[in-house]
Amino acid sequence: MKRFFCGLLIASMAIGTSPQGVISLSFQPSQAEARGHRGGGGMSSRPAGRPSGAKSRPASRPSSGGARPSTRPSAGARPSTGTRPSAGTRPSTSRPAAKPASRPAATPAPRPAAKPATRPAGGTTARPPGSRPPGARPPGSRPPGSRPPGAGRPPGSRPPGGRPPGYHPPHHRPPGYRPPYHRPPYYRPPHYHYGPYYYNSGWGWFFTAVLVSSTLVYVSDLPTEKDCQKVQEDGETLYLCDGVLYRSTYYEDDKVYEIVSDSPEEEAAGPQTVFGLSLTDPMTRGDVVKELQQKLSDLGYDVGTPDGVFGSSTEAALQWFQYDSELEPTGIVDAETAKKLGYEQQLADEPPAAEGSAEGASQSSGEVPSGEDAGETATQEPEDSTTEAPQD
Amino acid sequence: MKTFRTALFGLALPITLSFGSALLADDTDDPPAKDPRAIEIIENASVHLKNQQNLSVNWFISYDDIVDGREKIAHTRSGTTVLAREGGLYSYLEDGLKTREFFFDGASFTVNDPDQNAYAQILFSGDFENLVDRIKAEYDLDLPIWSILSTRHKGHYADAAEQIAYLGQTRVGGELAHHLALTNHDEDWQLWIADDEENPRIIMIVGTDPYVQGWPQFRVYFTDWDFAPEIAEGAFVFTPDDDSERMTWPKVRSE
Repeated sequence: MKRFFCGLLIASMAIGTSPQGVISLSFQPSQAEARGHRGGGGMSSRPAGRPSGAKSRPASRPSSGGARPSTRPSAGARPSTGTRPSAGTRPSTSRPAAKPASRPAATPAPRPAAKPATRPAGGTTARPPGSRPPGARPPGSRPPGSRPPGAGRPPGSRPPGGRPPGYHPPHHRPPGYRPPYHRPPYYRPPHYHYGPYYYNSGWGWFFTAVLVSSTLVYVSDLPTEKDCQKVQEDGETLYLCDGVLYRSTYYEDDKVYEIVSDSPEEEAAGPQTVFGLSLTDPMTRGDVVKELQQKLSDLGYDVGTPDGVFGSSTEAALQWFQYDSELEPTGIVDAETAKKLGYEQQLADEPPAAEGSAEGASQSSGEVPSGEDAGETATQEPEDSTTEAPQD
Repeated sequence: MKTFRTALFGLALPITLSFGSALLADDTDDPPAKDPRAIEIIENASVHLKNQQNLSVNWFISYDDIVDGREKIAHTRSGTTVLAREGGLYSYLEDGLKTREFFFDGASFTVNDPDQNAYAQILFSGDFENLVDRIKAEYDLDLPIWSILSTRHKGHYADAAEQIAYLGQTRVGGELAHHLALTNHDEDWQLWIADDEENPRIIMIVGTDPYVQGWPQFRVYFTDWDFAPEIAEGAFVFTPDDDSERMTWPKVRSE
């Protein structure tokens, strides 16, 4: 019995592998088939990675010739081992006269001993009738790794069509390429000591620091490209650089320069006239607001500290003023409120203003929310009251 | 290889025995957490320093900065300090390329940058202890070697330590000194105090941070202690020249 099974084992190995495999002690059927040592019997199943189209057609392929790529490797590229079975070993009996409607799956089941009359169903797409035109093989239809082993692509055998139009290899740059322009500010990594940079078109790069009751906005050095003048004021040293005022400051054991002037954007964004002032989000700020607060404070209304910011305290004080003045407490400085606040008195005392300022004031009078004569009042707005905020 | 193993065993055996004996000693007589002799030495040095009305000392500090968790960079800082406890301080500091002068005349405190000829000044009346507290609280500035000079903080190291050990005598710069080791949960220190009953000066301090990779240290060396310095008239008063630039000094928000 033991001898019988040993004999059976040797026989199966001999059947499943080629004679050369037995000699070279290589008993892997897939390798044997890849080398063309296709044994007979039950071990003749097609390898899993075999291309579904390239070499699967029997010898009785229609002779149109165009279906097979013209760049098919020549016979010389094929394995030259003499053990390749002859064409006669291929089953040629059951080929149908017409091609089946569907193509088998990419990894078909092991081929039956006898080729079925029709291709198994289950293909994703129905095969079009007729033979494949030259170069019409869809991209990606060839499974990976399906090229015959040992046979690289012959020279000049790239499929027709080549790369699609406009294709460039990765990181390709045409001659004369320049990176696109980006407007500043660019990213700047944080300073090792002062922390993150902030950018302002008027100031350039600057830093901020939180103090006890305020925020310090500063630069570590004065701008070198600007001509700075040293100014002494109340024992402090300031520098005037192209309209921007810097104050010498001792911060974190270093000399820095606090930016005293408002940024051009903030100055331009400040209100030009008192008319129309109200609580907004973000809050309106500027010298005009500060003067309004000072007037309300002088009249006995609590606006807090006149800081130039129209906040809730300023609104409440303004509403109380309007209430006491028998006006509707809207919290908005309209013409009547401005008149009661004494702005009109200033206008009456003011000599005829310069044309330029009057025009500027009349432009800003368009914001007057109510009152027919508001525009006239605004046109007569004195220079020193509210309309002298610098313009860019 | 056999020789190496024998040598390794020869090293390991005495170490094991010594640890075993140490553990055995711990079981038998548990030493106090704070060695009384070490405490006495520290107290003597503190009281001695506190009783000096005028003093001057030169100091040199090196401290470590651990970069990327592995590279240890040493920085240095040095200077001199002249202190009159009645109300006067002058301190000169060099930190890298930076130089600073600190003036306190009892009425105002000034930080001067001699290189840039710029100074910042605040009005302050009080003693040195109050100055230390206010400068730290409002401006986040530590005066150089303040913890040594301040009488209020005489027990800064001894009180903060959880364990104090007397490691014995040694020589530092040719001077006989007591070597003390102090530790608590956050930091370790070593002190070297001159073995001189009449003049127990602090010679050196080494601090170690055990929680930072690389165990950075600071090392403070005191030299030229003088407890009767000649203080010139106006030594504590800062007088700016005509070209001096005065800087504002904003208060920073305390942590």
